Amino acid sequence: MDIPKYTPPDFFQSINISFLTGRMVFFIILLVYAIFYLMVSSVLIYHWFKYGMKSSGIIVAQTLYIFVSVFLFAFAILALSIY
Amino acid sequence: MNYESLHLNPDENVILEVRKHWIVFLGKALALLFGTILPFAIFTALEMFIPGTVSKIINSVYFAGNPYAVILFFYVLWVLFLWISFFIEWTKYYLDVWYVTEKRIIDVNQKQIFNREISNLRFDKIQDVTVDVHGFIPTMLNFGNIKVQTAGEDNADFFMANVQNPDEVRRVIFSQHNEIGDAPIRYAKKEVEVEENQNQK
Repeated sequence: MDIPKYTPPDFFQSINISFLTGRMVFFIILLVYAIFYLMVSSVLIYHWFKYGMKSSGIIVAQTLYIFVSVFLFAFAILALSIY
Repeated sequence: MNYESLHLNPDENVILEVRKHWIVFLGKALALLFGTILPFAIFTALEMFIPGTVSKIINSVYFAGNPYAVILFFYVLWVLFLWISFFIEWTKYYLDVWYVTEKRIIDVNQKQIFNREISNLRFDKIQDVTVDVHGFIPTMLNFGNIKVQTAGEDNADFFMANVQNPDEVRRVIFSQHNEIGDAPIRYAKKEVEVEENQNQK
């Protein structure tokens, strides 16, 4: 017995958001996100410097955090560059 | 290690740092890791139960360029959010610590990022140290609760849950407590020795 497949309605066709899908819009989104990310990162790094007692765990965490964050932001920029 | 922010006395050194066992943080880390694969799980579930939905949604929205690049872009932002959440949780875990010196226990309680409580407990105020290792996994991984009871009604007890190697912590605290307790006796013995030497002369 064939079970009929559900097909969603076509109301998506009526949505025109072309003004929101330009590359500049996504770069602005990335910029705002980066500003908030920097604010939270500065709070974290402040805590590590002030209360971390310069332990090896803190140094490893700092290095890992910064490297991976930079890599992910670079990846986001790359994604937008191929858009 | 640099303990400047603890404001220790010149003749005081940190002899032990006591933290919670890593398994306490593991649950949150796994939840965040699951978050990274959640978008794939949602897309796969949608395709399994309502085939063609994902491609229909992507094709119905006008994109000036490659729509998959946009999906990748937002996925990277999601992973960045999870990454920073991971380190916020790790910071709360790592900065929640007891510093045991020769003279006191410094309890640093990092409740939230902007909520930090520091208490001091001198060894001569300690009445008892209780260790509680309860369950199969805590026994195998050697972690448990430790409570330091203080003398006096007004003083609050020091308590830390899921401490790694709690027996070693209790041993160190007791040895320092005994060291402080024996200090007057040693001083008195020294005085007697000096007096005897003077009498002999």
